[in-house]
Amino acid sequence: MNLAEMKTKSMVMLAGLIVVVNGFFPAVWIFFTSLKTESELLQFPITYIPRDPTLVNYYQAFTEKPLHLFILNSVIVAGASTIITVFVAALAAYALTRLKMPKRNLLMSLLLAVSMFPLISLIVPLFQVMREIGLLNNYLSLILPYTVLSLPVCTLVMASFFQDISPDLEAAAMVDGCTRVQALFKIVMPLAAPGVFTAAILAFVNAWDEFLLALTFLSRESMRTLSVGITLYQGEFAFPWPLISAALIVAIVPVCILIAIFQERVVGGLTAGGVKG
Amino acid sequence: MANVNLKQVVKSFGETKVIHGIDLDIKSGEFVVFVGPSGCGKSTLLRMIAGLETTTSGDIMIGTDRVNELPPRSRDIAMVFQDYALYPHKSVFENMAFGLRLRKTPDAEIKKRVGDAAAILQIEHLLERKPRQLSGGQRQRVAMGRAIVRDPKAFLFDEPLSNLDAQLRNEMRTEIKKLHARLGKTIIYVTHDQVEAMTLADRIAVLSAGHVMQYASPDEIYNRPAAKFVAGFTGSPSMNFAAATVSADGASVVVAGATVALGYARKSAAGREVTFGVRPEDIDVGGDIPARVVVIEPLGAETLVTLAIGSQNPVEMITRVDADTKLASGDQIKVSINSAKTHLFDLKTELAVTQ
Repeated sequence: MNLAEMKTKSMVMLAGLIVVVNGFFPAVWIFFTSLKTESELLQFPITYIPRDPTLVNYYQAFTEKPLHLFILNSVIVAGASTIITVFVAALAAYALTRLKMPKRNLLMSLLLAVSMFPLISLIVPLFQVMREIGLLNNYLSLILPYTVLSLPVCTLVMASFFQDISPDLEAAAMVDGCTRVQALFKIVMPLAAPGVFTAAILAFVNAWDEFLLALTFLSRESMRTLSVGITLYQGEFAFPWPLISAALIVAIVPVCILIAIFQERVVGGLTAGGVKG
Repeated sequence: MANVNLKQVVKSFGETKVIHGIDLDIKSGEFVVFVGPSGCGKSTLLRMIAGLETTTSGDIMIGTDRVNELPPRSRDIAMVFQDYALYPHKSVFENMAFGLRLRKTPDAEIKKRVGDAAAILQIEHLLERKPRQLSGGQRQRVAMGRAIVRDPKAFLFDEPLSNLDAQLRNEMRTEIKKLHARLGKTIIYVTHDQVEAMTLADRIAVLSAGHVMQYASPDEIYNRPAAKFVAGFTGSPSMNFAAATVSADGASVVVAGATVALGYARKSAAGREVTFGVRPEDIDVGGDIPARVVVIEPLGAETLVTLAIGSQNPVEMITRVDADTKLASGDQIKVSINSAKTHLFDLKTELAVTQ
């Protein structure tokens, strides 16, 4: 390795380090805070690593507010919208990549444009609609908009993966006895697994993190999702940092586990060997 | 096993017509090859029979059923694709079993049928592998195995050998021929390789620009081509062509100043300008037509010789001679043309002149 290469390598390492620290520092800081007592937090000089780590904040997080319900609500809303999104996006992406349709690129661009629509402009009309059809304080009031909001990006992600799959594979499946939809779900989707999981993670994280709609449409405390529920720990005069940090960690962990599980599928390519080459 | 009939089959993509009213009858158990250059519509026609392309008009019959509106899965056909189209995420066994599983065949039956097909194709040791762990030839066998286990009415092959190297292609060609002899099933086979067509087919349909130019046995196609296109497409090297004038009695032609007798008189073309055709093996060294040796290409078993034939404006024609015939480029020789094997084609229609 010569000097120039070493220089390039160390620059890349440094850039990577900055990204990692920038991404992880808040999470690590929140984790440490969640293990501190209120008094340790307010001490000066500040302690970085908790002196007497305690889990009492986690216990309180579950007892002071129905955190388990918040988690359940988030799981239901994010889970359901992810499943629907992946299903509908798969069909849409398949149609976009396989049907001979005019102006396909225009359609794709429109999809992208829709996904850039600011959420704030939708809230008032959506609220009206939800109230009219009696969906306020109903999971559907979040599941439906989350699905619609995630669909464009998920469709585009899946379409790019479907494009790489030989149409002959579906033709073979259809000759073998599949309907077109069966061919999509039995052959194309498993082969596009990295794309499907990427889309699923996007949809899930979008729904898990969303705050504005969740705050507006689910006002009953037992219906709150995690993102809104966590803000309820804040009192009028108090801001219990360790408690909120503990709740935040509880909110982050499921997503991290989910991504860790599926990461391998997202990264791994499955399609090698099916066709020539 | 079933016959396949095409009646006035037309395919259009928007305004563009790619298949122009094709009629073909394929008998039960027959091996028919669709051959033609790229873009002639042969694969499209095959995919229409499979149900993978819609039919604009006309009838496609498999057995006694009109299948135009049936989806591929209901046509009871099996297809082998050019790029094999094996399911990469399934093992060889599951690839072959997939069609049976969809038809809810009992497990024991699936095992037996996959086992039998694997034995025929000698791929029993590969059943647990994934397609990516197989060589090109093995993948091709698996693709054929997947077709065989289904025991369909007809097999469709879409250029199945074109991704294999030359030696493997020859081996697999023999395998396919053996397979047909063994199974006795109707096979429709698409290729652009006229050698495959000649060696495999009971009958060949030569396609050009969405038309069937000739539908006949390999022998007929080779020896009595119905059109200049067919004559030029078959044989390697292909037929020699030259401008010629038919004599007043139709019994001979003048090619580059040399008179060549015809096998039989073509009165309909008497006195007209035509295209004269003769295959390389029907030009023999020795005779009375003057020729000059232009290029010599030894192939080992035989030698291809490009000759400039005739006395006025000589035309180049290729002949094949024995490997031990001693010729050198520039030699002036005499040749003869086998008059029984001469062909005439109309200048305008390019159809064979037979009367």
